[in-house]
Amino acid sequence: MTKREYNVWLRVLIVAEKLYVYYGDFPALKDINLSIEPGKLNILLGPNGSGKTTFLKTILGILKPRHGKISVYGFTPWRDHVKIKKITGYVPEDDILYHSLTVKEYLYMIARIRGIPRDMVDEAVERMLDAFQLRGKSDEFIGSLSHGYKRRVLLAEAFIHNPQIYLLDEPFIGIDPRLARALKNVLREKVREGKLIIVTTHILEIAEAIADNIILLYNGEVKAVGKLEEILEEAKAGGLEEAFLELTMSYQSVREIIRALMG
Amino acid sequence: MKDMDRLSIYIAGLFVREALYRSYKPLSTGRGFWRLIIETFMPQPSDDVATYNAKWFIGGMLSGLFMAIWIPLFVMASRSIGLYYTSELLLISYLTMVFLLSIIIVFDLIHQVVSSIKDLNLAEVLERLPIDYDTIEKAASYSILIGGGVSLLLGMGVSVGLITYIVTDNPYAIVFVPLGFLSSIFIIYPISLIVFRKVSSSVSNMVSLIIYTLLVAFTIALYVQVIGLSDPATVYDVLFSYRWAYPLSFVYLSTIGFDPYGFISSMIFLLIGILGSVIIPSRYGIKLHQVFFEKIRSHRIVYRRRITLGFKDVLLLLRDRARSKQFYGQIAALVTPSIIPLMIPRIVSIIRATEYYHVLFIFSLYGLLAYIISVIVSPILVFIESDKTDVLRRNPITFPDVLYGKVFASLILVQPIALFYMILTIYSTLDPLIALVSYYSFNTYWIMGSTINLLIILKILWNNKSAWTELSLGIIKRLLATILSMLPLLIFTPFIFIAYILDVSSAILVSMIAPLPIALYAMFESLRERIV
Repeated sequence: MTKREYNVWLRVLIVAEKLYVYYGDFPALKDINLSIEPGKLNILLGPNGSGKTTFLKTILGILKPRHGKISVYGFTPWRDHVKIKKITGYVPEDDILYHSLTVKEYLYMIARIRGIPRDMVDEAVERMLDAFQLRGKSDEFIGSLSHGYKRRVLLAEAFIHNPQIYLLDEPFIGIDPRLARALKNVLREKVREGKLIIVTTHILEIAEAIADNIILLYNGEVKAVGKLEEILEEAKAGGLEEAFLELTMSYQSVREIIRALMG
Repeated sequence: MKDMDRLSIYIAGLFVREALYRSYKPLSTGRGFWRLIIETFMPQPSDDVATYNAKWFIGGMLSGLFMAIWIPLFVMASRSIGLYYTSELLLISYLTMVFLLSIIIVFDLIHQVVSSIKDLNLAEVLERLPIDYDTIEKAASYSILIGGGVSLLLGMGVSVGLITYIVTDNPYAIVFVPLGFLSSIFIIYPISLIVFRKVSSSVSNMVSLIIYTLLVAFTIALYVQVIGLSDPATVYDVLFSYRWAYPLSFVYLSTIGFDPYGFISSMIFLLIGILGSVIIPSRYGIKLHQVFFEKIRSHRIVYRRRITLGFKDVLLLLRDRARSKQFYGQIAALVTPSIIPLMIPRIVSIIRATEYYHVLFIFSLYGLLAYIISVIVSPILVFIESDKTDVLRRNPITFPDVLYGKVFASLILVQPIALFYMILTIYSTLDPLIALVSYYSFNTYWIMGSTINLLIILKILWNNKSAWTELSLGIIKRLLATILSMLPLLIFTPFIFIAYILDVSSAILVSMIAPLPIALYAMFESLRERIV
């Protein structure tokens, strides 16, 4: 590695080269070539089933690629997944939590698993209860919480150890506007701190509002990467919705949906 | 039949299919030869009702074979040295116990099915459809019958029946052992539905757990008292006098031969069971809602990392009505026969009169029992993860973290039993040292058994990205795991007994040292703090 390449490697923390991920015989990600840097709010944009969650799970080492390379902070995720998970805060798409633990018990457990020293656990948990307005629910079983509160618990799980990487899968779904606004501001602050953030969404307004860098995924392939203006220019479109439909060649399917719904 | 609600049965089929799918999606079935084996012998989501029941039947036959294969060997050995009555008595006691165990298996199956439906939130999908909640609850109860419970027990019955026939030359065994198993499920199933509906949901989890555990212990104790501790004449007398009672009518027909009273009683039990199994589920569905709206005082689970994970498992198990009953119910069933002798004054006085080192040796052997029980019940600590395994995957948790966390949890959960044994030992020996030795043996062998068994089970399931349930392991893999886990015991038990023949004190030493390396290593590992 030359000095210049090394400097690039230091700056670029996630590198995917010719990455293929399969579910059985189904290719969920195809020929992904990406470099993702910290200090930017990266938005992974794509319709349902485009491979956004699969990509996050591959970064985290939950899924193993069949071909190609992926490197996170110089680690190979599927081999060094524990090291990567230790420095990552991940919010999954599904609300998978232990229902018979209370919010506080769950956060205590997560804090210890994530290596927060025992004498600092209380402080970390209390901070998360306040930050995500969970104090009133702290002694309730997670199973009894609404979807929105379960999302808050998941966000608390991701933020509790102040990680280096944030992988947030549809974090704005199910939370109220106040928390959504606060989360956007916090993410902006984390970007300034030099954290690496990837947020997935299929809501174009969110992408338009907060993205520094948009990665457009469709059918498991990267269709476009760049700033909002660069994507609009590439698609020769006036807005992100138009660009999205143009780049994913979805005009025909939109017409089909309308025809089917209108009977 | 009017009582068999068609929609409920259809939904029951959906529950089974969904549970199978969630337990092993195509991702986890592997490739090549292993995939072929799994698809041939393990129920698949794509199977129809007849096919997956056939697979459960085969699984049941293998379990039955495993349960009874040692019978012909023991009978042949005892007959060859002229102990004809011993072999007959053994067979009668064994069959009685097996029929009673089938009751425990039925309870266990019900707990498994209820846990799967609750843990996997299978009912939630249907709640938003215009379906009466009664129908969903009835479907849950039907899914026990059509989901493989009957086929599993029938398969077990066929194997045990064939082995009994080989031993006794009584052809009725081929028919009446499987029918006895069927009667067990058909009688117990409707009764347990009523109990679940009427009693279990109205009392606190801990009270219902204690009642259930005592009930299991009492049932087993009663039969062990009647059959196991009497002389041959009394046993035959009891068997003849009570050949109209369940399950002795089936035992009589299977071991002694045809008898009109026994035959009519057996048929009545079977008929009552079948009718109950048709009518009761249509009246009493399984209560699926387990709502935790009350606030509690949260436990501050802030310990070393793996211990924290272990305490998480302890809380999950104790707060899960079905799983906690499964855990302690199995322990009660297995522990009770060894506890009864210590409560009989005649035996206690014999123990007190026996030479010190021999008593010490006998009580150190309770460790062997603890080992066997730990192998049987520890997997429940894996199954409580159910479809929440994603929590393990998205956090920096390693295989050893989960393994040693669960070993620690199992040790904590068994402490009431271990302490009860210790108190009982003090009562029967009046010697605190012997009590301490039995407590030490119980715990060290327990740790060894659960470590080995959990290691094997987790190795099988670790890369399974779907839910971890009994279904994802399947009967064949579970049997294999049990056999493999028992191997260390089979290897060093003969050494202990050889040492006993040579010198009692060295046998005690061997028995105490044998589990120590693994137990110490497991405890040391569970205290490990560093993440990577």
